Amino acid sequence: MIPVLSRDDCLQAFRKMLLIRRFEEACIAAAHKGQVPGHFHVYIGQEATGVGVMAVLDKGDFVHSTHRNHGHLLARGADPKKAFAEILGKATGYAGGKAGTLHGCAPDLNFPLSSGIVAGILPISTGTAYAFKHRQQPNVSAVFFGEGAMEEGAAYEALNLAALWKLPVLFICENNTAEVERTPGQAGYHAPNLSIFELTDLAKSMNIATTIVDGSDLGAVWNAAKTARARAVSGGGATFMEVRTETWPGGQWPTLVTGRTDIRHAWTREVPEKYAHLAAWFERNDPVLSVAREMLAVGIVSERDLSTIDAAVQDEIDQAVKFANESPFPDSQTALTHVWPQ
Amino acid sequence: MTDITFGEAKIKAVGDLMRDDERVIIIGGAGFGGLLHAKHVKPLHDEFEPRILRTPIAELGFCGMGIGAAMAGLYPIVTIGTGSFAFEAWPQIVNEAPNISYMSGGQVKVPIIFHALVGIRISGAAQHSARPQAMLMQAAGLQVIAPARASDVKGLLSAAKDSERPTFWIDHPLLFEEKQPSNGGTSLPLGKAAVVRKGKDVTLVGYSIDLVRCLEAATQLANASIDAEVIDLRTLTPLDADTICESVAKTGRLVIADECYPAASVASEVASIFTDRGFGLLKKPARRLNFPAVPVPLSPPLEQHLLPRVDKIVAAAKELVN
Repeated sequence: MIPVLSRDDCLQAFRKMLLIRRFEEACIAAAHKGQVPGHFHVYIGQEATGVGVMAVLDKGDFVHSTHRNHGHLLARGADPKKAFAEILGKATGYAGGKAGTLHGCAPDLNFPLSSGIVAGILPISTGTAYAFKHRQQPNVSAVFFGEGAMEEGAAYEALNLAALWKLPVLFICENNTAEVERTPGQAGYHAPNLSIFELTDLAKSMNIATTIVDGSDLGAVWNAAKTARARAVSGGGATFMEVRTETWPGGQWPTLVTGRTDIRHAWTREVPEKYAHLAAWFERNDPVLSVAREMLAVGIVSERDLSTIDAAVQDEIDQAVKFANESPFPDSQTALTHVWPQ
Repeated sequence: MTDITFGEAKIKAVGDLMRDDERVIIIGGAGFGGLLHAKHVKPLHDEFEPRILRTPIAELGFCGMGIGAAMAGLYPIVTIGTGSFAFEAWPQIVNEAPNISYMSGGQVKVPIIFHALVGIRISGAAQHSARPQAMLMQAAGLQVIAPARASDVKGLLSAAKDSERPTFWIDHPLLFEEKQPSNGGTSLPLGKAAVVRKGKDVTLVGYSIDLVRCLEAATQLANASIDAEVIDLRTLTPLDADTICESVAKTGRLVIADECYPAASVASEVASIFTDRGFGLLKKPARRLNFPAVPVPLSPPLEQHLLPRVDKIVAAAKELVN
């Protein structure tokens, strides 16, 4: 629920969520034109998580991510132009085209290289957190990963290290398979792959604080992250946040499963025939539409305001796409640079 | 100049790094000497206790942790223990650390040293005797150093630290007790092999424990009136082809001792130099002495049979010269 947030916080967060949505739509459009080298992973449906968590972080905190990093980068304040250019492998991208979508980074925002291995980034996040603790610096490391990361041993080792030394880490497990049917009493959260019933069970067994949050609820994510950060900087150690999102629209790459978002859905509630089967998602689970509706309900914005914000955001994304398209590919000589730090 | 063991020199070198720069920390409970040499390592641990993180048996986790700590401005020396345990942390050592500078366009640095006691330690059997160095040479963006002499260890460690490159330190469990005159201290160039013994008849190339074997072989060869030149590679990545070529241009004969398995090994990499830039310098075929491609057996006679022993180096050199 958003009323706990100020009007400005709310508007800023909504704008970022919409920016991520439009950015991902542009990625899929570019993929259909054959412009995106390799495969990529969109953040549609999970925008409230990245934006909600990032809103409570300090500039000095570290942010770590995985293959699904576009939303985290933009939520942290990355430049959509450089982010889009990187995804297209252009010289003007954040890493000059060497990282692409899988390894998004914005080092100037304390957002070092993302790992393309599902749990590969978790141990690394305990290291940045350890550095804060070692220097007695009141900062935290926030690490985002999918529920699939819990299938790899690195996740277990990282959680154990964080628990042993009470490291200031926010483990944010973005579970975008929440629609998978579960049978109470039987083992298996995501039945075929994990024997724990709840994703939080493993962290709980290590005495790490846990919380389960609805990923379509910006306010809930925000509050949970705020609590977790406060706990971490006061020496209370890590928190494992499971953020659940339903009917993951990012799953059928590179198809825009939920269609291009029409912000007017927020108030007209008219679901196009083609997406009738997703009516419940549009109504309850789309975080962008949810926040728009909540803001309308409490009178923070008008329908017209929303359209105006949308137009500005779309323009920003159009500019980013244009910038990326017009940017040159890197000079082939740069293929040999930066192997070693200079 | 007083004699010092390699082990004492390396403990002193690590201590110096820690004294000189408070960002240097040690991650890993393994230490630098294994159980037999714990008493030598203890003073280091006592002096720097708050900067030493004794970890669980979680190589994957704590090697990754070291990478993160390096990203955040510390300088971790991560002690993995036995070289075989590097495989437990392989994803972080070869698939995370070496890619980060490159893939971030040089913006994110991972200044770190991974340390392991690598190689045939005598009756370690197959799972505690690995020599991962040749595989590590396949990790683009990872520097591999292998100091073998007390006089080099400080210089190579300092240079590795100054380079800010992610570095794997190939140490060997049997090097600890090697007594050597120490005159080290200054930073050494990385990628520069050392001519440890001058000679004109045959070039013996080694590194780490195999350098010790080559030096002993050279002494024995001298008794047989064969004047061997001995080269210590010192760093495997980068590898110094120039020094090797200069030596072979003089001797025309080459023996390489390397505990790695033969295929895609350090020895095969050195030998390959003479298929291109060193083409024509050899008067005889190069001799590569590797550990044959079998898992390392426990029983001492079996293990000894497979090692690139001193007598094998001597025999190979004699064959080439005579």
